[in-house]
Amino acid sequence: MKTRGGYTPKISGRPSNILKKIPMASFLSVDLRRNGRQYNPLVKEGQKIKIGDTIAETELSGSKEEARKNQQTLVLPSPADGTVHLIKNKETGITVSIKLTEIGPSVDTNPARVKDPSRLTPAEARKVLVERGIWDYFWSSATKSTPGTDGAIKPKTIIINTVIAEPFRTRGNVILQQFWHSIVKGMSYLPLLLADYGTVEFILTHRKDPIVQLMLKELTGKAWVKFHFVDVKYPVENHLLLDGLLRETKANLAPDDDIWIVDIQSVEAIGISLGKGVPISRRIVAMGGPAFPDPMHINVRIGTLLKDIIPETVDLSSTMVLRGGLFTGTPVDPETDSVGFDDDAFFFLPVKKTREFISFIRPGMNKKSIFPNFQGRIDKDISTQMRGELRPCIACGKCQEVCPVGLLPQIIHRYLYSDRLDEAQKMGLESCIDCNLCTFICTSKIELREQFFKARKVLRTEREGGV
Amino acid sequence: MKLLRTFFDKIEPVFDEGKPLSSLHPIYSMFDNMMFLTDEKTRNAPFGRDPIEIKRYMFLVIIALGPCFLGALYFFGIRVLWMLIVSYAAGAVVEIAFAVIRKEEVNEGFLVSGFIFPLILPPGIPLWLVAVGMIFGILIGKEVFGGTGRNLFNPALVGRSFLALGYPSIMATSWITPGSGTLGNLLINYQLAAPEAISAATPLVQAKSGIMSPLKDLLIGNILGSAGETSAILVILGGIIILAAGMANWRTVLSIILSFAGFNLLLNLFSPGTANPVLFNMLSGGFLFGAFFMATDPVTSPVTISAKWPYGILIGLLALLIRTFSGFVEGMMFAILLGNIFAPLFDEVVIRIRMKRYAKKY
Repeated sequence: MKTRGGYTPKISGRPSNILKKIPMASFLSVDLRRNGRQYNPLVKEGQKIKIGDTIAETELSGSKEEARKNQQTLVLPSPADGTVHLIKNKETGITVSIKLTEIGPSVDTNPARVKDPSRLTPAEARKVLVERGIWDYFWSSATKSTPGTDGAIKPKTIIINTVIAEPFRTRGNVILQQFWHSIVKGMSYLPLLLADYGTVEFILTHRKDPIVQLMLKELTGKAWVKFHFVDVKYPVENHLLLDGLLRETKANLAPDDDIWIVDIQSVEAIGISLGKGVPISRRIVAMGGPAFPDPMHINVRIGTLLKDIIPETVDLSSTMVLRGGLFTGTPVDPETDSVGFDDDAFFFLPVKKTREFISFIRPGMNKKSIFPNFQGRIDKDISTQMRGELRPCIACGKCQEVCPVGLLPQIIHRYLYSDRLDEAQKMGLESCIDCNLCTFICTSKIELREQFFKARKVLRTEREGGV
Repeated sequence: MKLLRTFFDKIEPVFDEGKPLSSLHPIYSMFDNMMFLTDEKTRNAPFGRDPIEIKRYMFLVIIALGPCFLGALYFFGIRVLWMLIVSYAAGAVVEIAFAVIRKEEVNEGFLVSGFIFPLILPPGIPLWLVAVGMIFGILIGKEVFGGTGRNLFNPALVGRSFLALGYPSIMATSWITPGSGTLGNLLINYQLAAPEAISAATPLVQAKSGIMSPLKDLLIGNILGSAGETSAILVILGGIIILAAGMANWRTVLSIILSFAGFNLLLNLFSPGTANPVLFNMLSGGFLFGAFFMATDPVTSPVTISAKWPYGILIGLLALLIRTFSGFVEGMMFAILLGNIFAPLFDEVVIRIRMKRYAKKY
């Protein structure tokens, strides 16, 4: 499949292929927000729970009662055995997280609860995936979010994406290498979710990759599995982009056919969870970025506090920790935040306080830029510094070059700057996928994505008849 | 360096709001931001940003202009340096005045305009005329439109055309015989006053009466002409730098050169003798300099990438037509200014096509 635009900057701190298993912490903190939804706790203060017990639930659509009736609820399973403490927000009174103390043995296999794909009905498969906290890993093109759990809409295609180009999120190859068996196991459950004659489409880097070779060997002969190869260029992993790419490639997909997307780590989670009989309890997380010494991948239990996994050599007073990759990550507080169900990366960005002397005439030996004038060694130069003043757009055209959906960000910016929202909309403003690339490379340091995001919000509320 | 930083920190409160000198804060921040990288932090995702910035962008264009500037010093003397200083001073006065009036920060655009301007002037021009041209160029060409990023015309070319139309006799007699030897004119033309006028004509004027300068001279640059434009080799060297650094769009350069050469060939094919030979035309005058450094100005060339092709073709064609059929022997200046007028139009066409495509899609 051919992608448009895109750009992956070369930055130091790329996590190595080493996967380190982090031992169980003395206590865990499970965040009750997942994928933008607030979960309501179902356990009481002081209650003793086992790994896999449901600790919170939320409704996917409709009110609480409707959701229960229509089987549209999502749940969070406990990642370990332990004693419950509810942590409330002091101002709102809402329970924000569940602290688990007196962690028990938390056995990671349970033969009694293993489900074999050949003995499951599609409805049972969906129920098990919801119960074990895996359902939220699916993305549906029909809802542009988590698919419904009632099986009303079945996907024509499930995309398994192994290509993640954002610096530095967990690489698909690391997971393929380490968990090949669980992945094959997980894949065997996917046909239960598919519509009739549905297919599973693998997105891979390139055919010559030894791991890809191994996969091709093992999976040939399965008529329902197809392979696609893409360039490793951010933001190829974006769901909307993948959805569009596949529709361009496959002519037999109707516009209203549903496509689900799931990443390789989630397929691995399906394999472990259903094949070993335990809920999702661990994540493979990439720890990287210029401010992280010895960047690598770690296998860590959900709920582990960040301060327990960050080495002491990291000076947190001069580091910003981002949840996610460099482009879309948001800052977290390493003291209080923990590894969540959806985390696959933490990016460590240096906070620089010194102001470089006559920086603009210094040779760019340590400044790797999209402009080809900074050739030289790759350094830890990226930081939270803006590296320039806000200026009017000079139309250098770089944003157009990198835009993965082929927009003209400089023109849209001009329209929005002069309050011409209609024209901006006609220029495709609403196909922006929030990849943040244009903002990253902007010579004039304009907050393009912020501006586009606000404008799209206005358009949405206008359409919904709001004020 | 530390001393300088302490000095800046010490004097900053003088320009704080409410203090008598607060209106001069743009001047302070200009020097502060030139000397030290801004201390602003990212507030929105992405939290790390690419190290490119406007000042660096402009500075790289100046580096690309370096060979031409050094060549000008060699051929026409230290005088070119005085012209540069006057040009910068005049440009900075206008730019800072407008920044103070608008209560905005000083924009760095004049760094390039001020550097290019002396290079496209006859090297023997009186210094007061350099100042007049630069002030007119920045004021009318840029500031009245709202400053850097919003101007329609290339400010340096506006200044140049103002001088060409307003002071034709001085402009026509301000050429200097280029120097040669090890030091060229470096030690001869150092005085501030304009040197004595020369009656000789530039290669393009001579070509009108059938005298063709040898191509070797055009390549090396020991001919009469504007300060930075005479040596084709140096212009091409600078052009390679600016293209390799990504500051100029190759589409613009390529389409100008192809269109100019292509139409020139066609003209010579169907009506031999009307236009100068292709190679002579391309190497003489300001054609290459204009194609590499003036037409590629990102602000005044089309904003969309696809519109750069018709823009370049138009400039190439116009330059040829003006050179061949009008009273002006040089054609690049007016061709680029006309191209600047058409740039928004080309953009509009691209935008309309896009809008139709999106309307069909959704």
